[in-house]
Amino acid sequence: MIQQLAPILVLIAVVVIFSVVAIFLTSLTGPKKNPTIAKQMPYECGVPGINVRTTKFPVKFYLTAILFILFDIEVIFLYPWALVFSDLLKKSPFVFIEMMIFMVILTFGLFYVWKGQALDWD
Amino acid sequence: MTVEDLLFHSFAVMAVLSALFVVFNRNPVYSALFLALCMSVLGAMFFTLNAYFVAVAQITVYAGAVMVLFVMVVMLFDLKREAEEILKFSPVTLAKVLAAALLCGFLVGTGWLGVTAVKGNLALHLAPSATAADLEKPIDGKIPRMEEKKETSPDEAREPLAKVSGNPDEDLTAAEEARLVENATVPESRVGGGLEEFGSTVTLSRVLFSKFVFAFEAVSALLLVAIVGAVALARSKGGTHHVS
Amino acid sequence: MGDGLLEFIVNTVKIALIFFAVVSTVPLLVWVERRGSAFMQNRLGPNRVGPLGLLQLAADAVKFIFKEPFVPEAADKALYFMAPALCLLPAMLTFAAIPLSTPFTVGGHTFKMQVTDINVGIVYIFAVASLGVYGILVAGWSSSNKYSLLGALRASSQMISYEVAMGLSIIGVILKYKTFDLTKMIGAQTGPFNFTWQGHNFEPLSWLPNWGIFFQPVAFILFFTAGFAETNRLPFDLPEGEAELVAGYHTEYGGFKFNMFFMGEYGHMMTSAALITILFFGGYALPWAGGGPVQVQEFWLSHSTWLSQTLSLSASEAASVLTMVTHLACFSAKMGFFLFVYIWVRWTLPRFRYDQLMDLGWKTMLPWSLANLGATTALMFFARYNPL
Repeated sequence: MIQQLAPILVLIAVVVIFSVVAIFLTSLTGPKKNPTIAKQMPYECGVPGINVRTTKFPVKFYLTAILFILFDIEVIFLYPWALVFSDLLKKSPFVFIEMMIFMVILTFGLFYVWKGQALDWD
Repeated sequence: MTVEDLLFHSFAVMAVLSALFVVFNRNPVYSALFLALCMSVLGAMFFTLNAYFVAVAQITVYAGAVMVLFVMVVMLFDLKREAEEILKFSPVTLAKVLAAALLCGFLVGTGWLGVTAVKGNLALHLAPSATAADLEKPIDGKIPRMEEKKETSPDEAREPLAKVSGNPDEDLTAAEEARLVENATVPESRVGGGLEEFGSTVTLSRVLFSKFVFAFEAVSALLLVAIVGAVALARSKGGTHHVS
Repeated sequence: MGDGLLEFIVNTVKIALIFFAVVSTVPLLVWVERRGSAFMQNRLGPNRVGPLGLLQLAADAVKFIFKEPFVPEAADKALYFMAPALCLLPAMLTFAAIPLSTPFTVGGHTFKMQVTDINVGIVYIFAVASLGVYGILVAGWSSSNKYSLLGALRASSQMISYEVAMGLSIIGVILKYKTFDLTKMIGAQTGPFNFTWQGHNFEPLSWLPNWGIFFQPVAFILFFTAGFAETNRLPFDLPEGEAELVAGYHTEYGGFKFNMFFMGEYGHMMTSAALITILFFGGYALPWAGGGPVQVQEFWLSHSTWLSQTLSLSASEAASVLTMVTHLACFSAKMGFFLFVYIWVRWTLPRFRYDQLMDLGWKTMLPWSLANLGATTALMFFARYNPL
């Protein structure tokens, strides 16, 4: 376990150190910070921005994220099942049937979402 | 202080600190990001407990899906006004905090949130029929502890290669089958994760899809309810959401 | 402890080497992209700086270093500086679990050619890849530019939509190879094309290698397409849409931070290409029948005396080093081919509109991956279930 986890932690440390050092060094080598008004404004294709904060954001982003969570959970259940499917088949076909029930229920969910126009996009 | 202890304590400190930041930070986006960090650190802690698949599931679902939803939603809304409301000190807020603390104390005290600490070995949780005596019984001549596998001598340089080749269609013998399901301790497994310790993904999935099938199917029904609920909620709120 | 410490130091050096190898492959890829796109568009690419324009990217990197490190006024400074690192980190972490070659032994220590030999290999890669959304969201939000935020939201929605299809498409591969570990998957793809049906082993077409693509062709197509969407490459690069949102979520970035976004994107591309070769094309194993890693090492055992004399290694150690080099070359060739296909597709296909993109992800790829899963499961049921 340590032999598998430790290299990941070392890699995270390497990437973080690299980013910090690189950004620090490049901030030293660049020209001095020279903030003009044009540079400070949010970029809106070069024209002075309207910069109004009342922006309407569609609720479809939220719906996509929720559907992603639910289908991601389905995929997480499928991973260990795929691992033991062949072996458990020798005992009985039940392992096939139980996963088909699971998938059919969730396919109903996908069908409902599709018909309910929740997948009609931006 | 072994490396495992050091890792556990570092992860524990990180998790607690990020959880505290979640609660005490004024900026809601920072709170959400720290919560995502806390979830990832919890995933790493699951990894150190040899629950490899649970660790990966935690990071995929919690840190990679649920927290992404939270962060997206928090970024979309301008929550400064709400944040100030919550942080105002008032008798009602104090009463709420005290009530929550009392409830937690009650739950811990009556043992419903009981934490059973088994010294160095979680086998009791995975095989509820095992007793303390079973912990000391050697399996295949080895006591089931978490041993690290040492690298072999240079003459066995061919071994790593030979181990990775192989036909996945070969089947397990009946004896290996029985041991995998009953004991939930797997000294050596060719199939699936190929792990030397217990808690492998293969064991987890065998138990999940045989003993806990009902819970598994109930989860699918729960997910269906969640799908329908999400669509209904979004529909009732109309098309776009106005942010002021 | 001294022995363990030496191994720890050597492994740390190996991790740093792999990291810098990935970081240095990025300029090479960008050079291939610029020259390749120029060739496809019937014009010359960069050809002045260095031979064949190879030093163009070095010149560009130097230019990036000397840019002014500006920060937009209303930006959230901590998150603004953190976002490029947050984009680079998942790309490197996913590449960590990829086996580049066979392990080799020098001086009594065995070194594996990957950062970590994690046993839940493929699932770990998907877990960390799903963390890549945070870099985009934080970059878009911390720029405090509403177009950056919109671009970030679209990019993250696109990424998460295709992650479901990607995760579902590889379940067929896991069903076939019964393991998460990538090294074992490569081991199972050696030798000639064969399969087991109801207990009997069939070996038709033994001139074909035993690659995953012959078992899961639909999964390959789905995974390949989803890989484009995950890495925000054309035809799915609307979030970076040069004509629509300027540069999307990294509009307000310049200098080296901008460079780090590109390192992250090309790192993701390399991981996708590497995964495609491992899952469907045999990874680092040589393609002809009987060319498994053990056979290659046997071959080198009798042909490696020159190496064992020059470096004073034992015969098996020299053989393992040469085996590693052979397999690394094979893997690089396969991965390089797929990276070239990524670049080729970018300059060939037009861009999708955003609603077309989301329709493709949810209404086409998700049902197809479910159908692929159902078909594979049914086939395996008939192949393995023996009621007798």
